[in-house]
Amino acid sequence: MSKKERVRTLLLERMKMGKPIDALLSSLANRAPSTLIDMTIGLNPIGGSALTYALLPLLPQIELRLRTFPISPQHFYLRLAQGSEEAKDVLLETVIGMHPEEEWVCALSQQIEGAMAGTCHLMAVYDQPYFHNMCNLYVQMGARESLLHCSSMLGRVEPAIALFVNGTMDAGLQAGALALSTNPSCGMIEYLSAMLGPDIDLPLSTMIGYIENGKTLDRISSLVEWYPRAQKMLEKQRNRIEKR
Amino acid sequence: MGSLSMALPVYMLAKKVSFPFTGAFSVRVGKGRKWLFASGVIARETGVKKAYLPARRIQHCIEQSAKSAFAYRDRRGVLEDVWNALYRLPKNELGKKQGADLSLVMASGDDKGVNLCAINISGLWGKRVEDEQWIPVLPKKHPIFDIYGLIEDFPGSLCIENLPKGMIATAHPLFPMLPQEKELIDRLGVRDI
Repeated sequence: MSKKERVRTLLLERMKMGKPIDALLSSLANRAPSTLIDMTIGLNPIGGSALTYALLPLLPQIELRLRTFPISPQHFYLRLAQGSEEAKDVLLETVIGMHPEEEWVCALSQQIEGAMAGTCHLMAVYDQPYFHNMCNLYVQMGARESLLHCSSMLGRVEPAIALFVNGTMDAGLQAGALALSTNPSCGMIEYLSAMLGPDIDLPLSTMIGYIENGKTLDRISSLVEWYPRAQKMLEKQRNRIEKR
Repeated sequence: MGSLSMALPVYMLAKKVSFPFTGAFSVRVGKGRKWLFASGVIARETGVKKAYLPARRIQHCIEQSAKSAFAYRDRRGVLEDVWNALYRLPKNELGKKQGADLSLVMASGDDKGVNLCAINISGLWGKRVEDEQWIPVLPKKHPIFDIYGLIEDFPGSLCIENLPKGMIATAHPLFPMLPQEKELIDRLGVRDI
């Protein structure tokens, strides 16, 4: 049995017995990084959430060694996530914390979060100057739900703008309505006009149709007064909400 | 020349910003044989949020004053009435520069012809009917290019002879030059020009 196989057997036994593997992995990361990388993302990876949890503190160290093989961090994490089971969400959070600006994180997010791709990443970088760029990347990948979620949670215009530019008009309008509902002074109506042109009566009325919050309608009414169709829709929504 | 469907489209090409219609407004109104077409920008440099309301106020003012003027004024008078209404707008509602950064081009027409006036423009082009080429309508030193901001007295209007298919003005401080047709269409936000 080779040295590599002996280490692998030892690791598997400890995992099977539920014993800690942190010290063993740390030692491997220092002394035999190639063995560790091979066991985690090689042809026959060990996998499992316990291994991923134990690897988290060692990731910066492992990344430094990846360069010598050479394996890209993107490839390493995509492969590691495949076998990470319930640890994959924590893995994603950790990787976002280490590489918030990297575009390849979007691919990892897509693999881990599926239809909600981008939720974790966008919520983590909303106050960064590259937030808008990240929103665009996720929309280009086909993400929609995560952008709507972020619009609602953050009350910001960037997800809606990304959906307008790279997605569909209707998704952009829905995101805009969610952003306005959370933060009526986010500037969504102003951005709508700055993107689509002065005559926004029709899209604006559609967007208002998605707003379910009476206070938001009151707050935006002074911005809508120039558009008859949108104004009508605002009144209609207000009456509908009052009747509830 | 009369009726809104025959209106001469006029557009304003302004300095590039992140969002193309920041501070932009556009008006196309008509009644009977009279019509008015206006385009422009205001408070563009102050950003998307701050430029919105000044642009809406200008747009609304042009629309309303033109509609009132159609009843009793000729095409020159319509331009004059709109100008005076714009001048009367409270300056503090027109953005940080109080309306001094307004760039506007307006064309007004009736049975007898088309007149045009402008503020803060650096160039004016017309699309020739015969070969669809954009050609400068006025010489570089024409006094229309020296009208900066809304002055109290209406400076008069130009009678447009040999009507082009459409007109484009470049807003100060833009160098008076038109980009390629594709970029032009993108920046003006129109399907065709």
